[in-house]
Formats: sequence, structure tokens, C-alpha cells
Amino acid sequence: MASLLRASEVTKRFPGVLALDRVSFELHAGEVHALVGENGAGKSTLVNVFAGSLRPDAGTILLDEHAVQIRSPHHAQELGIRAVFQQLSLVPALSVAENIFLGRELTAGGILRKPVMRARSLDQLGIFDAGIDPRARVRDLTVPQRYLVEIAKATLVPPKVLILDEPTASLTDRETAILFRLVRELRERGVGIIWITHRLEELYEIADRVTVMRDGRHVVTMPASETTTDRLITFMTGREYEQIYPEIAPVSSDTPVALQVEGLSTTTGLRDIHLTLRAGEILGIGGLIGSGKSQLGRALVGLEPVSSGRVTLAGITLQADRLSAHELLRHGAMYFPADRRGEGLLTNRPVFENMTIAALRRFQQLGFLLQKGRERRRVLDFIERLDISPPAPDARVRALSGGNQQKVALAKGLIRDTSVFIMDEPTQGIDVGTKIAIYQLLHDLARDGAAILYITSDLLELLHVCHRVAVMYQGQIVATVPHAEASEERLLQYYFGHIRKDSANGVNAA
Amino acid sequence: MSTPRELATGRLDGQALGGLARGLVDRVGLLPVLMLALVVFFSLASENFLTRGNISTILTQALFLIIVSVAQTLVLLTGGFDLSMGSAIALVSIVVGLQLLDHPDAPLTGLAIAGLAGIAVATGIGMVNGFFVSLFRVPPFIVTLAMMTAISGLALKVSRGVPVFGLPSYFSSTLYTGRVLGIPVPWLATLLILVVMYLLLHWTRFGRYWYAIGSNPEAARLSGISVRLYLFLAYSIAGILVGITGLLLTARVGSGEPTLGASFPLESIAAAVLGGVSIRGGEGNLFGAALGAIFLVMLRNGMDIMGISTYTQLMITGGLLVLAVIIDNWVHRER
Repeated sequence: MASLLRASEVTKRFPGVLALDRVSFELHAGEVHALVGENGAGKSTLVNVFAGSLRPDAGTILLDEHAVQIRSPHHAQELGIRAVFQQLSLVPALSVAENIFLGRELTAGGILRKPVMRARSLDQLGIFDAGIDPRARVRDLTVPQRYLVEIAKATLVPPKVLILDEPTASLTDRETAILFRLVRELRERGVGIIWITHRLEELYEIADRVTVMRDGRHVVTMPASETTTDRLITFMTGREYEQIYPEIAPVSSDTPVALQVEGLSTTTGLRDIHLTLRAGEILGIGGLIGSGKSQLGRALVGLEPVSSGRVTLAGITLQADRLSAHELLRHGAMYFPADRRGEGLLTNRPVFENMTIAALRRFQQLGFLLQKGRERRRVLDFIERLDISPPAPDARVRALSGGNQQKVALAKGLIRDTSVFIMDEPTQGIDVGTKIAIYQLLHDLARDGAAILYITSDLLELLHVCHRVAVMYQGQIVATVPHAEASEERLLQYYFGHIRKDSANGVNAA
Repeated sequence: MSTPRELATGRLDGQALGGLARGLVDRVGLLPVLMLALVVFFSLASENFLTRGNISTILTQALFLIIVSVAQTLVLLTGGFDLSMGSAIALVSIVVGLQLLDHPDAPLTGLAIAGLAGIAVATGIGMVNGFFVSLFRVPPFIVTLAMMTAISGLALKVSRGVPVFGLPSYFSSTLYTGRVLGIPVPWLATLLILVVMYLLLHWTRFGRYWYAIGSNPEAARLSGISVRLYLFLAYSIAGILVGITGLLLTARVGSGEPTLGASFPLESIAAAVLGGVSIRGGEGNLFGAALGAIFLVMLRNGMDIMGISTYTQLMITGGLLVLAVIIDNWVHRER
């Protein structure tokens, strides 16, 4: 079969990182080609090259067997390459129809032909059967609806190549089914589709071929029908299961409770959360995007509007209105946000300032002067202990890799003698090697008595890193499963709200 | 940095040269380079520039802008800025003048009351700025612009638009020409302020917190820092420094002036940014800002000597501010 889009020996270098190392990739017309790999494997970089957002340092790209230089996202669109990323490109204040036609409005004598555009938007949206009104403002839509609008916008004129970056991450079952149907239709019409995903079970359903990437390199391309989850994981990580995850020793039920949450509710959707976290335990919190798992962490530090409930830390009970990062820190708990650059770290400040910023009172003399020498020695200790690279206290945090940034964040907690770690997606955007180091580190901390609330979208982490797993669905904890009883199938059922009754139509009851 | 491979393949283009230039500016800072160029240029243009007397004049004139630039730096570091510093100086000048008129023959009482009143007024203005910025999250631009307008009106109203003349002579002879330990009072005040502010910014947790808030307020909050309290403190302490400047400047001009210091807000921002303080917060230090202030005064002095008109000078200063911000973007952009 003739190739529609082909990358040959494409290399892309970022400061300190070789993001793409002579990667070759081929997409046929009329195929769904899944692209899988760990975070940081280079999938996003590769599709950003196709989408015109990044220029490769070396290598060639062929479209319809002709070499092309994709200069910009706009140029990519002119060539017939459309990409739909997680960050949507919609304007919230405009209507659905206005968004779909943004930049290519239909006019008659300079006047917008609004009724025509609305009608065509309705046709376009009709494919989805999702009941979206073209006149509605995008900001009033739900997240899955917005995603469908984005796809409608991208396929208004059917592209040659459609790139979907984790399309199902923010969709529920129903929208996922709609999306699958649309993708199959586009495939029939000869569109080549690149499908980036973390959900391996999707591959069997939608993909024709699978390409695995790791550490910026192409590992393997094979027919989807020949893959198994075990093989894919080995390709993705370069290791067998057992080498990646630490051994999980059971936590005895008579160890003291480190964190107790009772009846926590927020006005943003968390409903009556109860959980108990013991010293020495890693409690995983799983669930789909939008299930409330991320909100749970944020609510504990007062970043979400908490309406009721209470939290007990080290024997001290905090009522809902007293939840704040400051209060939690006072009682030994630290929150590590998923968005490390946006919320967790002072990226333009040096490593040492980031590490001690929450513990400066411990480095004071005469009541106010900082003991910089002592501070520095402590920072160097932790750089060595956590194996942070480069081992430079004065390096700016933004110059570090994602994994080392996460280690700096952890050191910030350790320097304060934190006993409860609330971590949201702690390994997001981190390479495999550092991930393994972080898993080991967290297990060491737990063995020394730390309690860890581990919020993650990675099913494998829930299964292999956590002592217990709590699954959230629509703002509630629907099940808590001990490590020994957790399986992929069982957790996924809870993900989609199948609680005990296992009824297929219970999913979208709300 | 360009790799040998890039050099070999002829890929050392504008981008690579830009990188080299940025590396140089990164290492020594932009300001020393610009300053050296300026000194060389003015020395060649006029033999009256590089004289002991003229250098001393430049530095003495620069003292006031240095203090205000340090105050501005404090606020810039937290990610804000303060446009009301100029009219605050004007109000301080009027209040100090009026207080002094009440105590023509009692130097000690007069100095104490006028000094305290002046500093209290400016501190109060800083506290109100800090209050609105921190508690109500009104953008600093709006808060301090409104404050600038309101305080300027108040200064004109209290003084009825005319300067307060006839200040007792002890005032200027103490705070302008007076000496302590052989050092002129304005010099001593500036040095003390630089030392205290350096300690505060680099040797106490206050400074770390201000940098942290300017770098990433959300991360600062999650680190247990009371962002509101420290924002409030930054504006308030800046107010104290502005009050001291108003006092010293009034002693220098010898009367209470309702329009004193109008050019300070923009000049102090320009000085700080030229000195490497980022307008995005969390980056830079007060010595850069002080150097920036000296640079601006030196530029004005040199242009005066060359007979360049005040109007042209304003245009050049304006252009320089834009240039400084462009360079700030260029040096501090995410890499």
C-alpha cells in the first residue's frame, strides 16, 4: 500500500533532551495507526512535527511521497494535516458554529452567512448524534461535548491526515463509542488517522497497526491483531513487569491512621468522600478524567471550594473551612500538584530555593537571618540521596528534566519532615528510568512510616505501586480494593461506574 | 551553544549568533555593556563629562532614583509594580513642608514630626496599595494607577497648587548638606537602605518568599506561604522607602512641591528592568536596579552636557524603556 505520510530518520533535540532520535514512521491512507509509549517517549514531539508546531532538526517528511517542509500549524492544515490535541483550540466565548467556522467563515459580500454556517454545523455535529446546539456557547458545554466540537471543526473539510492525541482521555463511554464510529467512517473515506493513546484496550478495537516508541526512538510497528498487553508493556518500558515495580509488602491494619477524611464534599462535584490512610501505606486513587480524583487532592489543600466534611491529620481534626496548604503543612502533610511547572515549582529560581522554600524557618538564626551554609549542606545531602541530575543546587529548575523536577518537589517535602504525601500524577511526563527510581523512593518512604495518597491515571501504577486502590466515579469513591484483589478488569469496571450490579446501561444513568 | 556539527554544516545562522549574544548578556548582564558604551561615547563627545566633579554630580543626583528603584524592585519581584510612587513623593513633600512651617524654631521637634509624618503618609499609601492588590486581587496596574491619580489630586488640593515656601533652614542643612561621620546624609541614607534591603532580600525568609511569589504564586501558596501577607508587606515596605525619598528630596529642593517626583514611577521601572529585574517577577536584584538608576541619570547628564533638549531626552528615555523590556523578554524567555 502506498504511504500517505512518512517520516524518515526524524531527529529533534531540546536543551538536554534528545526528544526524537532518527525516528521513522509510516501512515497509510485509510488506516488507524496507534502510537503508544510512556510519557516522554516522543509521541507528542513526533505528532507536533507532523502538525507543524515543531521543526525537526534533521530527517525528512513525505506527504503523498513528496518531501514537504511543514512550516507552521497553518501550513500543516493547508497540506491536509489536522491535529486535535488535549488542549482544545476553541474560543469559549464564541458559539459552536462560530468556532467550527473560525478562520474560514462563509460570507456574502463581506457579510457573515450565519444561518448557512449554523445549518452546516448542525450537519457536521449530526454525525455525533450528541445533541449539541450550534448556537450554544462553547463555555457552556461539557468537556466531552467540547471535544466533539473540536473534532467537528477539524473534519469540516475532511483532512488527509487526522491526528488524535489521547482522544478518549476526557470522554465517557457514550462519546467514545460516537468517536469510534466517526473514526471508522473517516477511515472508509481514505483518511489516515494517527491515534495516540494510553489505553491499550482501545487498540484492539480501533487500530489497524501499532507503533511503539520509547525514549525518543521507534521500537516496533506491528499489526494491532498481533499485540498483547504484556508484549506492548515490555516494548514500551524495555523491561519486564517485575523489574519496574517494587515488591509490595502488606501494611498491617493496626498501624496508626495518618490521614482520615470524613464526608468531604465540594461545590464542584465531590460527594461525601470517606477514606483512611495508614502510616506506611500507599493508597492509590484512580478513575477517569473528570471522576473527581484530581479534585480530591486539591480539595484537601483548599484549592477546591469545600462545602462540608473534615480531615484528621496526626490526631488533629481540621474542619472544611480550615483546609489550606498552610494548615496541612503545619500538621505534616504536603500536596504535590500534577502541574509541576504551573503550580508546584518556582521554575525560574534555583534548585536550592525550591527545596527549602517550605522549611525556611528551620534555617534561621537570631530569629530572622538565614543560615545559608547549613541550608546548602542539607540541599546537597538531598541532591545526593535522590540522585538529582545535574547535581547543582544553583541550577534553575526549568532546566531540569521532568523526573528531576519531581525529585526536587519531593525533596521540598522531605526537608520539612513530611509524613503525609498527597501526590497528583507524580510520574506524569517522566521517563521510565526516573519513574522506577520514584516508585522505589516512595516505597522506601512508606517503609519508614510515611503515608502516601497516590492519585494517578495510570492503571498499571494503581495495580503495581499501591497497597490499596480506591476508584472514583462521578465525584464519589465507588470501591476500595486491596492490592491482592486488584485486577485491570475489575478496576476498569469501577472506572465506568459498574458497581456490583454490573449493568451495562448503568453507566450514563446520570 | 552551537555544536561543531552545526558549524561544519554551515548552520551557524542568526539563531546561533543570537545565542552567543544572549550568553554574554546572561553572564555579565546587559547594563555594564551599555554603561561602558555610554561612558566612552560621552567622554569622546565632551571633555566635561569624565571629570571628578561631574561624576560626583551624577551620583548625588542618582541617589533619589536609586532608593525609588530599590522600592520598585521590591514590588517588581513579587510580580507587580507601583505607579503611585511619584505622587506619593509629592504628597510627602507637601505634608513635610506644612509640618515644618509649624516648627520654625525647633529643629529637633520639627525634624522628628515632619519626618515621621512624611514617612507615615507614604507607608499608608503603600499599605492601601498592598491591601487592594493582596486582598481583592485588583491588578497592581489599576490599583496604583488609581492611587497615583487620587494622591496627585490630594497633594494639589492640600497645597492649593502652590509650593510650600519658607521652610526653616535647619531642614536642608540637616538632611541635604548635613553630614554624619563625614558622609553626606543622602548618601548615608541610600547606603543604609541598600544594606538593609540586601539583607532582607537575600538573608531572610521574607526575600525568599517575595521571589517565590513573583516566580509562581500558586507554588508559593502550596508551600505554605501567606501570599496575601507578603504582598501586603512588599507594598508597605516600598512605601517606607518612598517616604524617605520624599523627605530627602524635599530637603534638596528646599520647599514642599506638589508635583515633585512625577517622573519617578516610569524611571524607576526602567532602571530596574535595565538592571535585570524581570517585569514578570521573581528575577533580578537591587544592585542591578541601583546600577540602572545611575545609568539613567548618567544618560541625562551626558545629554545635558551635549546640549540635547529636554524634549528629545524624554523621547530617548521612552525608547529606552521599550528597549529594556524587549531585552528582558529576550533574556528571560523560557529556554
